[in-house]
Amino acid sequence: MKKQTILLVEADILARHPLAEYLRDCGYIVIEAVNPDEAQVLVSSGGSGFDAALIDAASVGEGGFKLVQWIRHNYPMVAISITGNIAKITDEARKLCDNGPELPKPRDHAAVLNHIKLLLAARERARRSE
Amino acid sequence: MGTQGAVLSLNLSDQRQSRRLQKTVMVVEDDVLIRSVFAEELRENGVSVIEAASADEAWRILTAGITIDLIFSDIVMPGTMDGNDLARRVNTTSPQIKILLTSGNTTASPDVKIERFLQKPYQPYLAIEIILKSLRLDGS
Repeated sequence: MKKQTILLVEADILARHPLAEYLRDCGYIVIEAVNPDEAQVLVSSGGSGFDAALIDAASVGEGGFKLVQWIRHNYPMVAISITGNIAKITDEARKLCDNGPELPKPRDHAAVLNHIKLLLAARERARRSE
Repeated sequence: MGTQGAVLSLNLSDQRQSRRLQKTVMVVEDDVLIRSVFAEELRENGVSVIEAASADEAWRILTAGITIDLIFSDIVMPGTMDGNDLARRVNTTSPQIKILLTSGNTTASPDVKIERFLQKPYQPYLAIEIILKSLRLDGS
């Protein structure tokens, strides 16, 4: 039976290597990429040869989402899974956002409006206190 | 060959395979296509392979205490170290690790102790032959 091929995208070699070896021991061919750019090169050259892609959540902010979209669009048969600490991404997003990414979908339009008002009011207060 | 002979042959083949898998080669190469294809070829030859995309990554593996028998490294790579720097450090900290360096546009520094320098582009089968020979896995 043909071995299935997994694309593993993980920047940390100390996390990537043991997982890749484990999956190889489980009978898969594992192709390793350090980042989404490398992954795209590999998928472009290997194309439909990949059966699944495991993409580290940490790479999502470094072009990982674009990679996922690109694979979805060009190779829809490749199963995609984002692995790792999703909560960490939320934490990082929280640091980048004012008041954090606290508006889950489906969005309550009134809640969005209220959130925007609070943000703008806080900004106005900060401006006045300068 | 009878059934018993076939089984014996299979067992010997398994033993040879498991002996080979006890050897670990770290391939250090920033070009993902070269690294990936070469690593797979090596694995098909029964060697356990660690793929590193830079000398810095390779150094992380070495300092994590993972046992490596041979390093096959490109010289020119992004990061804080190149292949010569990596070889120099390995010569000092783990002199038992064999090193092969390769490059298309520079050569190995004269102060590093290596098994051999391979000019790029190299034939993968030739590089694998040299690696297996260095690891004494070529059957000789």
